[in-house]
Amino acid sequence: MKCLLVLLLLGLEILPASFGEAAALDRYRQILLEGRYTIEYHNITPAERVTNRDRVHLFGKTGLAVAQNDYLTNRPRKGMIVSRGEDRYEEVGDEEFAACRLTKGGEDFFFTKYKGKGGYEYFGTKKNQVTANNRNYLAEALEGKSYGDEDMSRIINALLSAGRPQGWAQVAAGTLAGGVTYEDYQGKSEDRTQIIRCYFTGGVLTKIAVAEFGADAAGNLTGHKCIIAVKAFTAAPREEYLSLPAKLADVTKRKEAKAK
Amino acid sequence: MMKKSITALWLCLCCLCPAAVSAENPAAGELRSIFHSGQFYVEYKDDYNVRVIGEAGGARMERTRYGSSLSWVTNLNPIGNLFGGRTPRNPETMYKDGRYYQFIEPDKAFVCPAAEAEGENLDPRMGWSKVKTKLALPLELAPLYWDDPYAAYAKSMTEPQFLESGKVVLGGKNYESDRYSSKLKTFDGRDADYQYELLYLDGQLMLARSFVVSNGREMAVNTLEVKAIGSAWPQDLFRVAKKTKLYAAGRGDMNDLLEEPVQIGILEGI
Repeated sequence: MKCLLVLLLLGLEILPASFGEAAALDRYRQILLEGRYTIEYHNITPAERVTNRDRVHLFGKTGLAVAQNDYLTNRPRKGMIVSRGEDRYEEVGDEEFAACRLTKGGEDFFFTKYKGKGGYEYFGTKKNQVTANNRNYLAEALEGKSYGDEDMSRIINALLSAGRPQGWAQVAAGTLAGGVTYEDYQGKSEDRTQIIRCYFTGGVLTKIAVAEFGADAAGNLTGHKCIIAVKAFTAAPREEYLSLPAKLADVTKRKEAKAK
Repeated sequence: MMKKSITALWLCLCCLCPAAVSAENPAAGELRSIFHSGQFYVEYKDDYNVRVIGEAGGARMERTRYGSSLSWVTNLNPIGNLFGGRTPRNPETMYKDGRYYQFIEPDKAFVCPAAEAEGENLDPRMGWSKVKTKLALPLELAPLYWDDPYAAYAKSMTEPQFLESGKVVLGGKNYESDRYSSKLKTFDGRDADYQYELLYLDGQLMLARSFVVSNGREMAVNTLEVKAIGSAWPQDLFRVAKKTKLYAAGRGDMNDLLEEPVQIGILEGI
């Protein structure tokens, strides 16, 4: 009832833009801070061109293999993050191929999974074998936890900082057609404009859009945009992902001198 | 009478219970002068890879031997040459006379002038903007060579300050340890410490460890096993093929598209 009233008031712009009411994002921030969640998203931003060979792959002088080129435009990236306290699983890719990282017991396991004829095939250091790496605590301290790909990581770390003095601040909220509400957050950068807009349908986060632009040192306008479709964001971690897949064997040589 | 006995007692206690030694291991000073001398080499093992970094005559180069169960085969020179590919003593990256070199085969290298290494037309998969930090000493050795011109530290990281020395027992050996600490600011504005621990055995640096200390927790980041640090290079530390062909770094022009790079010269040894 209260939600409906607030929505109506915001829609009619009777209330000034004061955010004494709980932002719809607070519930998600709380889930993130508690550390037990599953997030599934599609990064549906068309990728920027990286090299001039993006659309074609020429081999020899006669071949043209579009399927083999490294950076295809308009191919959505799917990401999944499962977290249960210190254990964490991240996966970025699509149905055919995904790069995965499992953090468990203070160690990182990096592996890739390919869709084969009879299910998934896993490659760590070799097929069906994986070795543990040290967990990168320095990167986590300097840049925060990673959430799938770099766009989503920056978005989530920015949204988590809302409410801190140097963090992002909520600057607007409103309603769009079809009962979709939005909240805008702005970063505190001096030379770049950074906005994140979160879209909610009935209080459920469905989409995140990011726009960031500014002039670089030479005076040229540079920018970046990103659109994320949030497929799932729940406080229930998917336990089956928090251990290595059955086919993948852990072949780490554990030394007694390894510092813990 | 009272004063004398108190003084005597105090002196006794001082001798029996030494306070935390607040002096660096003398070997640290020697290592620092080696690194600042302009000619040095370091060989160390980082969990699975063995890396060698060397500097001489204004040039710096490095090579990495990736750990794998078959590496002992390719490291035997005659057999390694049969299987082709990089022999173990070829440098992977090098900086010399204002240019970065990346060796892709024993006798082929791509060259990019250092001033243009951040150019936007360079193929990002070659990683030219990362070559400079590849040539830097590992972060664990920063207390010995903080002002390494190739190193890139996080903005908030301060120069390591000596904390204390002590003794550490690892793997059955008694090491003398020196601890240093750098300050860090985390992504959410809190203060954290990055601590370095250099472990010496009989005046030789054996291990270098690093930790992140944040929120009262100490988390181990890395452990390096130092195999050798010295000033004069051993014979054949880096081997460069006699007539290494140098190619210009691909900049997205027609040569790059057709994967036919332009040869710009020959490198006759280093």
